[in-house]
Amino acid sequence: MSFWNSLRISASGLSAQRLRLDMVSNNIANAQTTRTAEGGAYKRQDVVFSPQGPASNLPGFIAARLSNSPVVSRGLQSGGVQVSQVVTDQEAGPRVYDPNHPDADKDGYVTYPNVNLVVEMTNMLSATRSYEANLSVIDAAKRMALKALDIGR
Amino acid sequence: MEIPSISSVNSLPLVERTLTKKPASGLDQVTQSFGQVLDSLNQSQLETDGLISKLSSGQDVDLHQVMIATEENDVNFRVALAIRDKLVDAYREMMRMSI
Repeated sequence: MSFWNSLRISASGLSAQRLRLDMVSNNIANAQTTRTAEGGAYKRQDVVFSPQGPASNLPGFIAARLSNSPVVSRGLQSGGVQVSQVVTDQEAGPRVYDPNHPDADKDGYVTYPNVNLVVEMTNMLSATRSYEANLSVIDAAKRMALKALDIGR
Repeated sequence: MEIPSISSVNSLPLVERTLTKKPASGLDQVTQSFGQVLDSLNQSQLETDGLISKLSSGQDVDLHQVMIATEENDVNFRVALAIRDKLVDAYREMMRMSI
Protein backbone atom coordinates (compact mmCIF):
# COMPACT_ATOMS: atom_id res chain seq x y z
CA MET A 1 0.00 0.00 0.00
CA SER A 2 1.17 3.52 -0.59
CA PHE A 3 2.68 5.35 2.30
CA TRP A 4 -0.21 7.79 2.14
CA ASN A 5 -2.56 5.09 3.49
CA SER A 6 -0.46 4.44 6.60
CA LEU A 7 -0.28 8.20 7.15
CA ARG A 8 -4.06 8.40 6.99
CA ILE A 9 -4.47 5.57 9.51
CA SER A 10 -2.03 7.20 11.93
CA ALA A 11 -3.75 10.55 11.45
CA SER A 12 -7.02 8.96 12.56
CA GLY A 13 -5.24 7.60 15.63
CA LEU A 14 -3.87 11.05 16.43
CA SER A 15 -7.31 12.61 16.12
CA ALA A 16 -8.83 9.93 18.36
CA GLN A 17 -6.21 10.44 21.08
CA ARG A 18 -6.62 14.20 20.90
CA LEU A 19 -10.38 13.77 21.36
CA ARG A 20 -9.71 11.54 24.37
CA LEU A 21 -7.51 14.27 25.81
CA ASP A 22 -10.36 16.74 25.25
CA MET A 23 -12.61 14.48 27.31
CA VAL A 24 -10.02 14.28 30.09
CA SER A 25 -9.59 18.05 30.16
CA ASN A 26 -13.37 18.50 30.23
CA ASN A 27 -13.64 16.12 33.17
CA ILE A 28 -10.86 17.84 35.10
CA ALA A 29 -12.25 21.31 34.36
CA ASN A 30 -15.69 20.25 35.62
CA ALA A 31 -14.43 18.38 38.69
CA GLN A 32 -16.24 20.77 41.04
CA THR A 33 -19.34 21.46 38.96
CA THR A 34 -22.35 20.82 41.14
CA ARG A 35 -25.10 21.99 38.80
CA THR A 36 -25.73 21.15 35.16
CA ALA A 37 -28.47 21.92 32.67
CA GLU A 38 -29.95 18.43 33.17
CA GLY A 39 -29.95 18.87 36.94
CA GLY A 40 -27.59 17.28 39.43
CA ALA A 41 -23.84 17.29 39.46
CA TYR A 42 -21.55 16.84 36.44
CA LYS A 43 -20.88 13.22 35.55
CA ARG A 44 -17.57 12.28 33.97
CA GLN A 45 -17.56 11.27 30.30
CA ASP A 46 -15.39 8.85 28.39
CA VAL A 47 -14.86 7.96 24.73
CA VAL A 48 -15.25 4.56 23.12
CA PHE A 49 -13.04 3.72 20.12
CA SER A 50 -13.86 1.35 17.28
CA PRO A 51 -12.12 0.48 14.01
CA GLN A 52 -12.93 2.79 11.15
CA GLY A 53 -14.88 1.66 8.12
CA PRO A 54 -16.74 -1.64 7.77
CA ALA A 55 -14.58 -4.63 8.57
CA SER A 56 -15.17 -6.13 5.13
CA ASN A 57 -13.27 -3.35 3.40
CA LEU A 58 -9.78 -4.50 4.32
CA PRO A 59 -9.89 -8.00 2.71
CA GLY A 60 -11.44 -6.52 -0.45
CA PHE A 61 -8.80 -3.81 -0.58
CA ILE A 62 -5.95 -6.33 -0.19
CA ALA A 63 -7.47 -8.66 -2.79
CA ALA A 64 -7.80 -5.78 -5.27
CA ARG A 65 -4.18 -4.82 -4.67
CA LEU A 66 -2.91 -8.38 -5.19
CA SER A 67 -4.83 -8.79 -8.45
CA ASN A 68 -3.42 -5.47 -9.78
CA SER A 69 -6.87 -4.14 -10.59
CA PRO A 70 -7.35 -0.36 -10.52
CA VAL A 71 -8.26 0.70 -7.01
CA VAL A 72 -9.65 4.07 -6.03
CA SER A 73 -7.09 4.24 -3.28
CA ARG A 74 -7.98 7.59 -1.85
CA GLY A 75 -11.67 6.85 -1.43
CA LEU A 76 -11.43 3.36 -0.01
CA GLN A 77 -11.09 3.13 3.75
CA SER A 78 -8.92 0.33 4.98
CA GLY A 79 -8.11 0.88 8.61
CA GLY A 80 -7.96 3.53 11.24
CA VAL A 81 -9.84 4.32 14.42
CA GLN A 82 -12.90 6.39 15.11
CA VAL A 83 -14.76 7.50 18.20
CA SER A 84 -17.97 5.45 18.11
CA GLN A 85 -19.66 6.95 21.17
CA VAL A 86 -19.20 9.12 24.22
CA VAL A 87 -20.41 7.35 27.38
CA THR A 88 -21.36 9.07 30.61
CA ASP A 89 -20.26 7.39 33.81
CA GLN A 90 -23.45 7.05 35.89
CA GLU A 91 -21.71 6.19 39.16
CA ALA A 92 -22.88 8.43 42.02
CA GLY A 93 -20.45 11.10 43.11
CA PRO A 94 -19.38 11.85 46.70
CA ARG A 95 -21.87 13.66 48.92
CA VAL A 96 -20.58 16.34 51.24
CA TYR A 97 -22.55 17.82 54.11
CA ASP A 98 -22.74 21.58 53.51
CA PRO A 99 -26.17 23.12 54.20
CA ASN A 100 -24.99 26.62 53.27
CA HIS A 101 -24.15 25.62 49.69
CA PRO A 102 -26.69 26.92 47.12
CA ASP A 103 -26.95 23.43 45.58
CA ALA A 104 -27.55 21.58 48.86
CA ASP A 105 -30.55 19.24 48.84
CA LYS A 106 -33.13 19.01 51.63
CA ASP A 107 -30.76 17.03 53.88
CA GLY A 108 -27.97 19.58 53.47
CA TYR A 109 -25.81 17.32 51.28
CA VAL A 110 -24.11 18.52 48.10
CA THR A 111 -23.36 15.91 45.42
CA TYR A 112 -20.03 16.48 43.73
CA PRO A 113 -19.00 15.04 40.35
CA ASN A 114 -17.66 11.49 40.21
CA VAL A 115 -14.35 12.73 38.76
CA ASN A 116 -11.31 11.06 40.28
CA LEU A 117 -8.23 13.13 39.51
CA VAL A 118 -5.90 10.11 39.67
CA VAL A 119 -7.95 8.29 37.04
CA GLU A 120 -8.05 11.36 34.83
CA MET A 121 -4.29 11.92 35.06
CA THR A 122 -3.68 8.27 34.17
CA ASN A 123 -5.96 8.57 31.15
CA MET A 124 -4.11 11.73 30.16
CA LEU A 125 -0.74 9.95 30.33
CA SER A 126 -2.12 7.05 28.31
CA ALA A 127 -3.50 9.42 25.66
CA THR A 128 -0.15 11.23 25.46
CA ARG A 129 1.82 8.01 25.03
CA SER A 130 -0.59 6.72 22.38
CA TYR A 131 -0.28 10.04 20.55
CA GLU A 132 3.52 9.75 20.58
CA ALA A 133 3.33 6.13 19.39
CA ASN A 134 1.23 7.21 16.40
CA LEU A 135 3.74 9.99 15.72
CA SER A 136 6.60 7.49 15.61
CA VAL A 137 4.64 5.36 13.11
CA ILE A 138 4.25 8.43 10.91
CA ASP A 139 7.95 9.13 11.22
CA ALA A 140 8.83 5.55 10.22
CA ALA A 141 6.49 5.66 7.19
CA LYS A 142 7.99 8.96 6.05
CA ARG A 143 11.55 7.68 6.44
CA MET A 144 10.70 4.53 4.47
CA ALA A 145 9.32 6.61 1.62
CA LEU A 146 12.37 8.89 1.53
CA LYS A 147 14.73 5.89 1.61
CA ALA A 148 12.84 4.42 -1.35
CA LEU A 149 13.58 7.62 -3.25
CA ASP A 150 17.28 7.03 -2.63
CA ILE A 151 17.10 4.05 -4.98
CA GLY A 152 17.16 6.46 -7.88
CA ARG A 153 19.98 8.60 -6.55
CA MET B 1 12.42 9.98 -73.99
CA GLU B 2 9.74 10.91 -71.61
CA ILE B 3 10.75 13.23 -68.73
CA PRO B 4 8.37 12.83 -65.80
CA SER B 5 7.24 16.05 -64.19
CA ILE B 6 8.35 16.90 -60.65
CA SER B 7 5.55 15.84 -58.37
CA SER B 8 4.74 17.70 -55.17
CA VAL B 9 6.52 16.97 -51.92
CA ASN B 10 3.43 15.51 -50.31
CA SER B 11 3.40 12.53 -52.60
CA LEU B 12 6.91 11.32 -51.76
CA PRO B 13 6.04 8.20 -49.75
CA LEU B 14 9.39 7.43 -48.13
CA VAL B 15 9.93 10.93 -46.73
CA GLU B 16 6.34 10.98 -45.52
CA ARG B 17 6.81 7.77 -43.58
CA THR B 18 9.95 9.05 -41.86
CA LEU B 19 8.42 12.42 -40.99
CA THR B 20 5.25 10.99 -39.44
CA LYS B 21 6.95 8.16 -37.55
CA LYS B 22 5.65 8.07 -33.97
CA PRO B 23 8.13 8.08 -31.06
CA ALA B 24 8.65 4.84 -29.14
CA SER B 25 5.63 3.85 -27.00
CA GLY B 26 7.79 3.40 -23.90
CA LEU B 27 8.82 7.04 -23.89
CA ASP B 28 5.17 8.03 -24.37
CA GLN B 29 4.21 6.07 -21.28
CA VAL B 30 6.96 7.59 -19.18
CA THR B 31 6.06 11.14 -20.07
CA GLN B 32 2.41 10.35 -19.47
CA SER B 33 3.10 8.98 -15.99
CA PHE B 34 5.29 11.98 -15.27
CA GLY B 35 2.31 14.14 -16.17
CA GLN B 36 0.18 12.15 -13.73
CA VAL B 37 2.80 12.57 -11.01
CA LEU B 38 2.77 16.32 -11.59
CA ASP B 39 -1.04 16.32 -11.42
CA SER B 40 -1.08 14.52 -8.08
CA LEU B 41 1.65 16.84 -6.82
CA ASN B 42 -0.48 19.83 -7.78
CA GLN B 43 -3.47 18.25 -6.08
CA SER B 44 -1.64 17.66 -2.80
CA GLN B 45 -0.21 21.19 -3.00
CA LEU B 46 -3.70 22.66 -3.26
CA GLU B 47 -4.96 20.53 -0.37
CA THR B 48 -2.05 21.56 1.82
CA ASP B 49 -2.61 25.23 1.04
CA GLY B 50 -6.28 24.91 1.95
CA LEU B 51 -5.48 23.21 5.25
CA ILE B 52 -2.83 25.79 6.17
CA SER B 53 -5.18 28.68 5.48
CA LYS B 54 -7.88 26.99 7.58
CA LEU B 55 -5.48 26.51 10.45
CA SER B 56 -4.20 30.09 10.34
CA SER B 57 -7.75 31.46 10.28
CA GLY B 58 -8.54 29.46 13.41
CA GLN B 59 -11.00 26.97 11.94
CA ASP B 60 -11.43 23.49 13.30
CA VAL B 61 -8.57 21.59 11.70
CA ASP B 62 -6.07 19.50 13.63
CA LEU B 63 -2.44 20.54 13.71
CA HIS B 64 -1.28 17.02 12.91
CA GLN B 65 -3.47 16.99 9.78
CA VAL B 66 -1.68 20.08 8.50
CA MET B 67 1.75 18.64 9.28
CA ILE B 68 0.94 15.30 7.65
CA ALA B 69 -0.37 17.06 4.52
CA THR B 70 2.81 19.16 4.40
CA GLU B 71 4.96 16.06 4.70
CA GLU B 72 3.02 14.20 2.01
CA ASN B 73 3.43 17.22 -0.23
CA ASP B 74 7.16 17.22 0.42
CA VAL B 75 7.55 13.53 -0.47
CA ASN B 76 5.46 13.94 -3.64
CA PHE B 77 7.68 16.85 -4.63
CA ARG B 78 10.83 14.76 -4.11
CA VAL B 79 9.33 11.96 -6.22
CA ALA B 80 8.65 14.42 -9.04
CA LEU B 81 12.21 15.77 -8.72
CA ALA B 82 13.71 12.26 -8.92
CA ILE B 83 11.69 11.38 -12.01
CA ARG B 84 12.65 14.71 -13.62
CA ASP B 85 16.32 14.03 -12.92
CA LYS B 86 16.08 10.62 -14.55
CA LEU B 87 14.33 12.00 -17.61
CA VAL B 88 16.86 14.81 -18.02
CA ASP B 89 19.78 12.38 -17.61
CA ALA B 90 18.31 10.08 -20.24
CA TYR B 91 17.87 13.03 -22.60
CA ARG B 92 21.46 14.13 -22.09
CA GLU B 93 22.74 10.62 -22.77
CA MET B 94 20.78 10.52 -26.01
CA MET B 95 22.07 13.94 -27.02
CA ARG B 96 25.67 12.91 -26.43
CA MET B 97 25.44 10.31 -29.19
CA SER B 98 27.47 11.56 -32.14
CA ILE B 99 25.57 11.47 -35.40
